[in-house]
Amino acid sequence: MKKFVLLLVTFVIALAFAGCVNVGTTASTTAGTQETTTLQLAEELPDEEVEITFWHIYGTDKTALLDQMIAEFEAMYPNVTITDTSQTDYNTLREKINMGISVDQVPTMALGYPDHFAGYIEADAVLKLDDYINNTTEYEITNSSSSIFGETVTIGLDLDDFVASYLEENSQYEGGYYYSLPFSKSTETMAVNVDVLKAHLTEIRAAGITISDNGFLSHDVPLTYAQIEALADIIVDTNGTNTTTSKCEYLLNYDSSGNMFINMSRQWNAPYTNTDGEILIDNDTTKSMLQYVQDLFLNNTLALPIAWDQSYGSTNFKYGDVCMSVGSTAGVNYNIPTDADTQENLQFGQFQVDFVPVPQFVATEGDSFTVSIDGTDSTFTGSLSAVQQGPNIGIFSSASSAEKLYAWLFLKYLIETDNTAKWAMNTGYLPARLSSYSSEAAIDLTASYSTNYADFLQIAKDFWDADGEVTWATTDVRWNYLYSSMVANIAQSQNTYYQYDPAFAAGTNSAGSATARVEAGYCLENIYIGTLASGSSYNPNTALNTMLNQLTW
Amino acid sequence: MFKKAFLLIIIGLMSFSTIACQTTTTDVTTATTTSGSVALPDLTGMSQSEITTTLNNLGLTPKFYFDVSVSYDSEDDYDKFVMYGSDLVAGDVVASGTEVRVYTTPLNLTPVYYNDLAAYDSSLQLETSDYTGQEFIADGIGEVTVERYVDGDTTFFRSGGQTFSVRYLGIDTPESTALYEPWGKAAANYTKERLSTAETIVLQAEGDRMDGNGRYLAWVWYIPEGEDTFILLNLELVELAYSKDKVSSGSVYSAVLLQADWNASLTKRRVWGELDPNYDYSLDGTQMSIQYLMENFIEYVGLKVVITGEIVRKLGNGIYIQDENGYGVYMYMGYTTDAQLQVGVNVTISALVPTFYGGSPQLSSYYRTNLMVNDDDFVVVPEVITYDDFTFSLLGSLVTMEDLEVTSISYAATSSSESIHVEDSAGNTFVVRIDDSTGLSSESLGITVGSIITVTGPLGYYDYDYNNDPESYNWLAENFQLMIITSDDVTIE
Repeated sequence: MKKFVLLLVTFVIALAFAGCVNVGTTASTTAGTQETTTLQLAEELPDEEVEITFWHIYGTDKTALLDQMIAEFEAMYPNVTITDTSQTDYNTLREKINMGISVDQVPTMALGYPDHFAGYIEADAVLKLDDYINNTTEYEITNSSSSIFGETVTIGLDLDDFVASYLEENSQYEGGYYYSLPFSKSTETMAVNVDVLKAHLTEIRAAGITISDNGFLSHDVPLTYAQIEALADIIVDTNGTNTTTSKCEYLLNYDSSGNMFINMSRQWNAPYTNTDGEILIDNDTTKSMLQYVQDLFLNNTLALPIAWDQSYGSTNFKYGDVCMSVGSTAGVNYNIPTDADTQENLQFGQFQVDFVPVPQFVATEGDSFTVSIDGTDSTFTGSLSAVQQGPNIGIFSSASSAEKLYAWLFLKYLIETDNTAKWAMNTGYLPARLSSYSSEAAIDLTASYSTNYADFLQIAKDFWDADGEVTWATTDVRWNYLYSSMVANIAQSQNTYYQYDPAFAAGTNSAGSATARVEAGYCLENIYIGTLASGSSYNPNTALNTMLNQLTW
Repeated sequence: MFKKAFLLIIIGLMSFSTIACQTTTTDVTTATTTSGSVALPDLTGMSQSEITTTLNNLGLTPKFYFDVSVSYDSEDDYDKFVMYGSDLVAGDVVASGTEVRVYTTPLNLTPVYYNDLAAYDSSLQLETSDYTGQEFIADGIGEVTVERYVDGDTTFFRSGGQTFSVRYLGIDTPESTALYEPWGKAAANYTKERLSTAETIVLQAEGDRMDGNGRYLAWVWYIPEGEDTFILLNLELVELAYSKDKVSSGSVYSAVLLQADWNASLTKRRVWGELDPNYDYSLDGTQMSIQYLMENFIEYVGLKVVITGEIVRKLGNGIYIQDENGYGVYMYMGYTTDAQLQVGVNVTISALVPTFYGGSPQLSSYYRTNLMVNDDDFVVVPEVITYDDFTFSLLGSLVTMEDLEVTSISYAATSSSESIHVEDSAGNTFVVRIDDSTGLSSESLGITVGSIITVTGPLGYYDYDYNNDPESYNWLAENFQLMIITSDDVTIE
C-alpha cells in the first residue's frame, strides 16, 4: 500500500510540475535547434478574445494590402483582433521597443532588422520561435463562424521552403535559434540607361561585353568591375553629361555607401566584422580595396549620392547625370523617368530603363582577379556577393500564451506562399519562400488583373526576349509591373550568393553592427569628399582610421 | 490518520495541477465554484485607475484594451469603462487572482513637456536672446509672421521681405490638402488655431535648411496670447497626438520628442488609433456623376467618391476625366503611374478624395487597385465657351475658347512653365498656361505677342493666395486658366 501511495504521489507531483495533461504537442529536435522543444500547447485552440499588436513602419501605400491580410486572418480566427501601428521609421520603431521593454509595454510582434533583434535578445524580450517551428500540433477549426471552419491548422513550419540565406540571417544568434522570420526582403540591383548603351553598341561589344541590339546587357551574368571600367572609358564624359555624344558625367552611382563598403569587402574577401562583434577592417585587403575605390571615384566611374547632395542617386539617374545606379529593389520605380517628372530635367528624355545584377569582381566563387592600384597590378581571391536586406518579424516573450500562439499563426499567415508572393508583387519586395516563385495561385493585383508569381516573372522575360520590342498595347497592365518584374528576376538570379550583415549589439570595446554599417558608409563618403578636394593625394587610410576610431575604444 | 493525511496531500497536489493547467492555457478563467471566486463588479463610468483599484481590491488584475471602434465627441468620454472582455459582464463569477480583460475608451492626453520644456531641459528652451537681431533665412533663426496656412506641418511665413514655405522639423501630421488622411484636417486646424493667436513666432533651423521640395525646414516656436514663454509647436503636436515623432536621432530635441511620442502612443488618441469623426472610412465612397460632383464639390471635400468618365487629357502626374454631359475633373496621381490611364480610355475609379490645390478642385488618393476599365466609350466634344462662362463647375472640363489675343508671355522662375496672357474680344484678360511637363513652349507652338489663338484644353484655376478654406473663398474669373496640353490644342490665325 505504501508503495502504491508513493507511486501515486510521485505521479501527481510530476503531473503538477509538468502542467497540463491534455497537450497535443510532440517534442522534437531538428537541425539549427540544439535543444528539445519544451512548448506545451493546449489541445484546442484558445477561444478567448485575443488582441495582437503589430508594430511596423509601413505607410498607406503598403498598409492597404496589410489591412487586407489582417482582415483575412481575423475572419479565420474571429476571436482574434490584430491592431497594427506604423511607427514611421526603423529607428523610432527600435527605440520605442527598447523603451517599452524597460516598462513592459511592448507590442505582441514587430518588424525589425537583425541588429534590432540582437538587442531584444540581450534584453531577454523576444521569443525563440523554434518551439513553434518544430511543433507538430494540429488544430481542427471548430468555430463555425471561422472562414476556415472544419479545416486543420498546423503549428509547425517547413523551413526548407525558405531562401537559405534568409534563414541563416534569422538564426545567426547565439545557439542558432530563430528569433525572427523573413518578411519584406530585398536586395540591390543595378539600373541601366539602355538608350545610352545602345548608342555605343560597337565600342561596348569591342570591349568584350555582351549587349543586345537594343542595348540590353545580360540579366544572368553580372558585369565585372573590369567591364565597369571599360564601360566608363566608353560612356563617361567628365566634363558633364552630353546628350549629343550620349555620355553621362558619371558611370555608376551606388545609393548606399554602407552597403557598398560591406558588399565589396565580401567580394574581396576582406575581413569586416563577425558575429562576435569584432571589428576587422584594419587589414591590407580592405586598404587595397579602398585605394581601388578611390581610383574609381577619381575618374567618375563611381559616384555616391552626395555628388548631388542627395540621399539617393535615382533622381540623378533619371536626369541623366549618371548612366547606371545600384539601389534597393524596394525603390525600383524611383529610377523610372515618367510624365510626372519635369521633362526639361530629363536630359535623355523618358529613356528605357533596364535592371541587371550588381557588378562582381569574379565570375565564379574563388576565382582570382587583378586590379590596378596606383598603377600597380595586384591580384586577389574574389567572392560573389549581393546584399541581402529588408526586415524580419519577431514575437515578444511578454505576451500571453494565447497571444503568442495567435501571433505565431499570424506570422505564418503573412509568409504563406501566396501572401508572400502577393506582398512581393504589390510592394517591390521579394518573396521569402521558394514556393512563391512557382505558385500557380492567381492573385488579384487590381480589380481587373490577377496573376501568379511565375507569370509576374514572365512579364520581364517576355520583354527581354523581345529585346524590348513587345507588341503590348499602351494600356496593357503589364507595363505597370514591368520594372518590378525585372528586379524580381534579377533578385532571383542573385539569391545563391546573398550575404547578410552579421548582427551584434555594442560591446565593451566596440560598437554594434548598426553603427558599423553607418561608419562604413561615412568612410566611403569621406574618401569621396577627400578625393574631390585633394585628388589622389588624399589617403583613404585616413578615412579608414577615422572609422576604426569610431567603432573601437 | 496517516492515510487521511496522504489523501489530503494528493488531493491538494491534484488541484494544484489543475490550476497550473488552466493558467498556462488560458488567460481568463471563468466562473468557478471554489471558495476563491468573486463576482465581477459594475465598472460603469470608471477610469483605468479606478478600475485597477476596484479590481485589485477584489483580488483581480485588470488587463486593459481600448475600444477604438467608435469616435468620441467630448473630452469627458475618454478614459472610461466600456465593457469586460471575453464575453464577461458585471455579476459573472471568476476565480480570485484572475487577470480580467477590460475595454476602455482611449485615454486623456496629459502633455508634460511642451508647456514646461525648461523643466525637462532648460538648454532646450528658446529665449528672446537666442534670436534677437537675427533673421531666419540669413541666420537660421528669427522672428516671422504667418503668410498662409497649408496643413498641420507646413505653413507659409514671411521674414526679411520674403515669403517662403516651411516644413516643420521632426513631425509629419496626416495630410489634409492634396491627400486626405484621418486627423489631417484636425491637425491643420490646430496649427492654425495656435499660430493665428500667437503673439510672437520664431523659426529655428537645424541641419539641412531645405527639403527636396524647396521648403525650409524649421522648429516652430510661438508665445501664446497673454503668456511670456515660448512653446515648441512641433513638440506640442506630438504630445497632443496630431503627429508621430519623425525626428532624426541627431537633433537636440530627439530625446524629448521620442518620450512625448511614447506617452501619446499609450493613450491611443488621434493618430495612435482613434477614429477621426470627420474622416470617411468607407472603402469605395459615394458613386456620382462628375457633373453632380462638380456642382456639389465642397460638400464632398475629404470624403470618398466613385466617378466614371472618359480620359480626355493627361498632364504631368494627373489626368482629366469627363462625363457624357461635358463636365470634367482633374485627378492627381502623385507618384503613382498606371499604363491603363490613357487618353480615350473609359474608367470607373473608386475611393477618390475631392481636395483643393491652389483653389483648383481635384481628386486625390488614386490607387491602381481602385481602377476599373470600362468597355463603354463616348466621344467628348469640347464646349465652346467665353470668359462669361467661367464658373466653378466647369473647372476640369475640356473647353474651347476662340480668338484670344496674346498680350504678353511670362515664364516661371523655377521651371519652364509659361503663362500666356490673353485678351478676348470683350477685353477680358486671363492666362493660357503651358505646363513644363508638356514639353511644349510658346516658341515651339509659334505663339508670339500679338498672335490670335484658339485653344482647346481643360479649364484650370490657380490662386497663390488660396486660403485653404473653401467655405469662405471666392473663386475669381481672373484666376481661371486654360491649359494647352498638346500641340493640336492650338490654332493660330
